[in-house]
Parts: sequence; C-alpha cells; structure tokens
Amino acid sequence: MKKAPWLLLVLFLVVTLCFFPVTGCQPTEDPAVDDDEVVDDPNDVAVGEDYTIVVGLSQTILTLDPANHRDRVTETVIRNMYDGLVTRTPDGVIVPEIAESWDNPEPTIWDFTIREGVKFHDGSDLTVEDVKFTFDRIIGEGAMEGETSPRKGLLGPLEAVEIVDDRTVRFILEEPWPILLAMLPHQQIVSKAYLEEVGSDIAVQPMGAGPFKFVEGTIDDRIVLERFDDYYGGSPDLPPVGPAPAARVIFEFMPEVSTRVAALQGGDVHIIHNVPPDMVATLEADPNVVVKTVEGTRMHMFEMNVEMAPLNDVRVRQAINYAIDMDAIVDNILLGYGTTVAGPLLPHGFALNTDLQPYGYDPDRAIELLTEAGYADGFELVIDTEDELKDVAYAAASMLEAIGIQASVRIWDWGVLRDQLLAGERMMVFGNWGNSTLDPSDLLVPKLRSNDRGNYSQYANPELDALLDAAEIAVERDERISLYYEAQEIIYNDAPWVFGYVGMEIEACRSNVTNWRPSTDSRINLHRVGLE
Amino acid sequence: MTNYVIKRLLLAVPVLFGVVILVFFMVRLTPGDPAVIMAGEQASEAEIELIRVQLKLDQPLHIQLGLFLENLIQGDLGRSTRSRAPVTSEIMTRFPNTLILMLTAMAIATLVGVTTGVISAVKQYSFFDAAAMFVALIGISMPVFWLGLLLMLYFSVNLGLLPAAGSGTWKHLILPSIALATVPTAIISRMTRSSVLEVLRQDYIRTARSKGLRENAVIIQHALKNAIIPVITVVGLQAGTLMGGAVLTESVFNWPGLGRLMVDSILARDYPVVQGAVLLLAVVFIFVNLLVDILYALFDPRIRYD
Repeated sequence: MKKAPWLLLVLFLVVTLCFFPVTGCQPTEDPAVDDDEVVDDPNDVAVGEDYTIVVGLSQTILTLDPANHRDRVTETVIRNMYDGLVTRTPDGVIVPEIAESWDNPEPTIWDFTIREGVKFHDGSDLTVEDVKFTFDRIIGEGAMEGETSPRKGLLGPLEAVEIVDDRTVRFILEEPWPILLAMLPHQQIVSKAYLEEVGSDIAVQPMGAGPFKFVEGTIDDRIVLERFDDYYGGSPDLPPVGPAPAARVIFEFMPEVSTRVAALQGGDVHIIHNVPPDMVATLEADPNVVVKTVEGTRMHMFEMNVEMAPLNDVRVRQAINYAIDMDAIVDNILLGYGTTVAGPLLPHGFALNTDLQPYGYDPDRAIELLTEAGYADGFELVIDTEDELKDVAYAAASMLEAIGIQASVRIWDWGVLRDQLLAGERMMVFGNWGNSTLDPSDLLVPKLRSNDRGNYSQYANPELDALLDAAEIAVERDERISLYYEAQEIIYNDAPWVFGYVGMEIEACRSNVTNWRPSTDSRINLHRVGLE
Repeated sequence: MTNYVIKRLLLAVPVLFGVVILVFFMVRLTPGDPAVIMAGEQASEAEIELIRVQLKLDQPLHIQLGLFLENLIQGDLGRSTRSRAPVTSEIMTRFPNTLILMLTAMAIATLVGVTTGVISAVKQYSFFDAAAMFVALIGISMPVFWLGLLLMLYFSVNLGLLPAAGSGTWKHLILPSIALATVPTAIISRMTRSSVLEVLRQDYIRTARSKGLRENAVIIQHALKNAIIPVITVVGLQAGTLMGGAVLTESVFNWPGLGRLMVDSILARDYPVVQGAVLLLAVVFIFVNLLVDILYALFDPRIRYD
C-alpha cells in the first residue's frame, strides 16, 4: 500500500498518454508536412521546386465544399483547390479561367466555351457536364445533398444551365443581370462523378481542378495542400501560366492578431492578412517583412433610419454628414489606410459619379441646418455598431456632441442587431457592406432599394427604385452608367447615410515571398506565388 | 474504497445531467442567431430561414432539448452546425491536444512549485525564499494572455528559438505549456511553502531530528509527506484553472485544442459543439476531483471512506 499513490499516478499518466496517438499534433515524420522546414527559419527553405508557403488566416473556415458557405476566407482557401469559369485579377478585372471565352447573344443568355485539357486532381477531364452539375447543385432547391446551397443568392436570376455542345454551356437568366460575369468568380467547378461518389464528404475530401490539391487538415485547425502537377495552368491573362511554383501550401488559422504578427515576424508563416493599421509600423520596422496594401471593396457608412424622427428630416441627416469629419477619422483611426467617399459608391468602382463632392467637415453649416430643422438644442442619438468598428463610432459620436447632438454608442452582437435594424427599430448604425464585384448593383440594390435585404436605413424612394431596377436589366454600359449617375445624385442629396470610407486591405509577407500582392477582394491565391 | 468510488461515480450522473441542461439553455439564451452568423451579413431573410430549418432551430426549445437528450443517451452529440462534422469526432480530435498541454503544464507546475516551496520553507527568510516568493507573486498576478504574448515576442520574434504558434513538434509545446504553468506553479509553490512551514513546527519533526535522522530524510520522508495533503487539494483545484487558462493559451498560441474549439464555437454559436465540449470538461473535472479524494486516502492513512 505504501507505494500505491505513485503507482496510481503513473497509471493515470499512462492511461491519459494512451490518447496521444489520435492527437492532431502530428509529429514530424509525417511525409506530407515537414514542420521543421518551415518553423525554424523560412530562409532555410529550399529554393525552387520544394518549398512550402504558409499563410496565417484571421479566422477558421466553415467548410471545404465550394457550394456550402457564404464566407470570404473560406472561399480564399477553397479557391486554391478549385478554379471557376472566370476569375479576377488582384485589381478586380474579370478574366477567363476554365472558360476560354464567352458570348452574350441575348441579354438573358450567356454562352461559355470551356477550355480543353483541364483536368481534375483525380486525373479525369473537366467537361461541360461538370459545369452544368456545379451550377445545378447551387441553384436547385435541395440540390446540395438534400439541402439548398447558401450560395444560390450569389447567382441572382440564373434559371438554368444547359449543355449546347461538348465545349459550350449556356446560362439562361430569368431577366437580364449585368453583373453575372462579376459574380461568377465566386463559384468553383466541382467534378460530377466525384461528387456523386462522395456526396457531402466533399466538405472534408475536396477535389477540384485548381492549382493545389488537398492533402490533409481540418477546417478549424490547418489545411495542407500540395501542387497539382497536371494543372492546366490557370488564366492566360494572369501570367505566369503553368503549375504552381510552390510544392506545398499550408493555411493556418490564427484569429489573434498579435499571434499572426508574431508568427510572421518569427518566420513561422509567410503571408498574413487583416493586419490592423496600428500594427503596420511594427511590421515595417522589420527588415524581413514587407507590408502591402490595396484598395478594399468594403464600404463603411453610417446608415440613418429615415423613418424615425428626427432623422426623417433630410436637413438633420445632411447636418450629421457635415458634422462628422471623415477625413480626420481616416487619418487618425485608420492611420491613413482608407479613402473617404463622396457618395454611396466605391472610389474605384463602376459608374462612380465624379461630379459629387464630399459633404466635407463644416460644423457651422451643420448647426445651421439643425437650427433650421428645429433641433437647435440637439437630440439624443444612439449609434449602434459592432465591437470591431467601435473606435470610429465613438469618434463620430464625439464629433456630433460638438454640434449639440447627445450621441452615444452601443455595441452589439451582429446576429441580434441585424433583426432590429431590418425591423426599423434602431436610429443609426455604423457598419459595412462588401462590394467585391465593384458594381453598384450589389451595393445599392440590397442597401437602398425599398425593403431590400440590407436596407437598414429604411430608405424607400420609388424614383430611386425605378432607376435601380432599370439599371439591373439595362444591357448597354453607357445606359447603366447614366442610370447610376442619377441614382447616386438622389442618394447624395437625400443622405440616408453618412457617407463614409473604404478601408484598405493591409496584408504582409516575408521579404523572400515573390510575385504576391493583395487582391482588392481580399482573396489570397497562391498559384503564382514563390519564395526566393 | 470500491464502494466509495462507485457511489461517487453514480453521484456524477445527476451532476452531468444538470450540466447538460444548464449548458443547453445557456447557449440558447446567449444573444445571437447561428443561422444569421452562418449565412453571412449579405444573405437574404429566406436564405437565413432555410439554414434555421436545416439546423432545426425553428423548432420550439423543448423539442430541441428532447431531440438532444434522445441522441445523447445513444452517445450521439449531434453534428457541428459550422462544419457539419459529428461533434464527438470534432471534440475527440481536439481533446488529446488540450490534455497533452494541460498535463505538461501540470507536470511543470507540480515539479517546480513543490521544489521551490520546500526549499523556501526550509530556508525561510533566506534570499532564495524572498526571491522565489516575489517571483511567485508576479506569476499569480500575470494574465496568461499577456504572458503568452511576451514569451512569443522574446523567444520567437527576437531570439527566433521557438515557433510562435501552431502545433506539430515538441518545440510547439514549450511556450504554451510554460505560459499555462505559470499561475499554478506560483500558487503551488506558495501553498507548499506554508504547508511545509506548518509541519516543520510539529513535535514529531523535532523527534525525528533528535533521533539523529539526516535533514533530507526529515524533510522528504516526514515533513513533506504530511505537508502534501493541502498541496494535492490545490493541484486538483488548479485543474480547473488550467482549463480556463487553456482557453486563452490555446487562442494565443494557436494550439488546436478544446479551448480554441470552444472559443470558435461560441463565437459562431455552434450549439452542439459548445454543449459537447462543456460536457467533456465537466466529466474531466469530476474525474479529477474523484482522483484527488482517492489520493487523500492513499497519502493519509487517517482518511478512510469506508
């Protein structure tokens, strides 16, 4: 009995240690990933054929099934294994990928010619059947193994996909939809035969026709990919064309900003994204790290509930626009990593009305307008926002206090706030909306058309609705431009928003990373990225 | 003893049932809708409703609870709403990682803590004692999160000796287990010190010394054996602290354990995974407590459970 305590302890340790073989902490003998190679010093990584690029992402991903999510970071990972009919350049220009060319014979009909010699990772040829299957699986009710794809909405009025001949597929729309091409990079082609074999297991065993094939990993730990040697080469408009230079790619999920930055500086990862502006100086001081930026596509704005007094008075809304010094916010909170906007559209987007000048910071004019509207003594205003945006909301609140509005900030969980916004129960919200197509259609329609899905300002203007609807079905580029010009003017004058800014995407890499720059839609595609 | 253990294990059943019910309602009372989070900010109401139906979140709470309990009895914790993978496999791939981290931290804490505590007590008021207790005070006061970042900054970024984050090799284990061990080490060393000091004043220690035993034998065989009881209690209690600490440590060091899984799942309102993970932690907690009680009896013959 005397020795028993120690025996028991030893027994406990032995029993618990028995768990370890199932652990996700793989030892280095795993042939697919040699961690030491990356971990010790990235500069030691063999140059040329055999190196690994590690990317630190700011969140875990939701799935590896291209049809079953609605998330940018998830798409970034999937996009390295799957290609689409078309893709975007880092500057947001649509270029062919699996589709070699396309034709738009009628406003509601698009014909895509499929490139020859495109192979899936299992060696089979990618055919028009696969393209049709991919889109049927997304747009059909219950077509995704009994469920309906959450990406259906990203294909708007797409009604059917038909096979014309063995190289051509036809997209048939219910009504004209000028942003079809701009939305197509978001869909990736899957193999019909493979999917029919594995079903929903595609979420853990993905297989596409992209530059990298899946090796191992889970969506909340890390994803390891390796080069697909039979890759057709990718878009000819995005040279170099051919198999990826990197032998392996690892996506690590690092939600903590400081962890991400330390891992980059320590050399554990080669590329990180979502770098907050206040970390830029630290990174720039490190000779082994390069910070890169690109204009983002996320419009940040304050949406005012135009149904609720006193914000139902356009003079009050304009006064608030004059009272918030957006330049100061961009300079001091975003440390300059952003661009203010005059109206509701992205500064580098399609159909920007350049006649509109920013309201500008003019507190005297703001007080004048408030007095005119009968609110010389101000009023109480609550600005709702999410935790990560609170700094800007607080700054705006203090600027509004300067003209006599008793503004305060309330921080919410998005899932709770959203319902109240749609129900018109809140006064003013500071948030953002992604517009990666750079087309006004998927910004103005959801945000400002009467009762649309993101219309938090409750703005309802039949005149604007008519313009937006006309632009949705207009096919001529010039016609769309002139419709959107007029729409922007109406929105500018009615001021349902405090027109805000577009933040820059700030990403950083080790200085030995070659041929990589951030994309305006924040995707990280590693097909062409190398190390030296 | 066997009867006692069986009785304790049976008592654990209602406790676990209570935990299950409590967690079930707590996650659902937390504001936030998993369907909204899953659908993304730009989704339409119809798309969100669709997800709600698919996750059975449109059902009344008691129906959801019934379904959950029915499956639970069959050992099925459901599927993650985020990844659609079975919760048991999600948890069981993560749990060993947390366990390895906790055990390493616990081993460090016990070894370093007890050794420092004993030396401090034996050499009371010496420089070593003062320094050790001062460091221990700092250790207790240091937030794990901050300490983790400091370790990372120094050993990974500045010195480049150890990987900053992730898992895969034994090197990845060093920084997170040190960060996690700091608070328990400090607490254990202070506890050991005071406990040993108290025992050293007892008559039987004087007797032991007077019969000519070497000082080492007095300390290790006579003093420490009696002083260790309160230390065992503290070590047991620290298991709870370690679990809490593991959540933070795993987030900082990107360690793929249960703690990080819980944080991710709570943020995504992934109810089934949160429920499963908390249930597992409750089981571990009950197990550790039982183990501590058994150890009492083994170390101290005066304690009998029969």
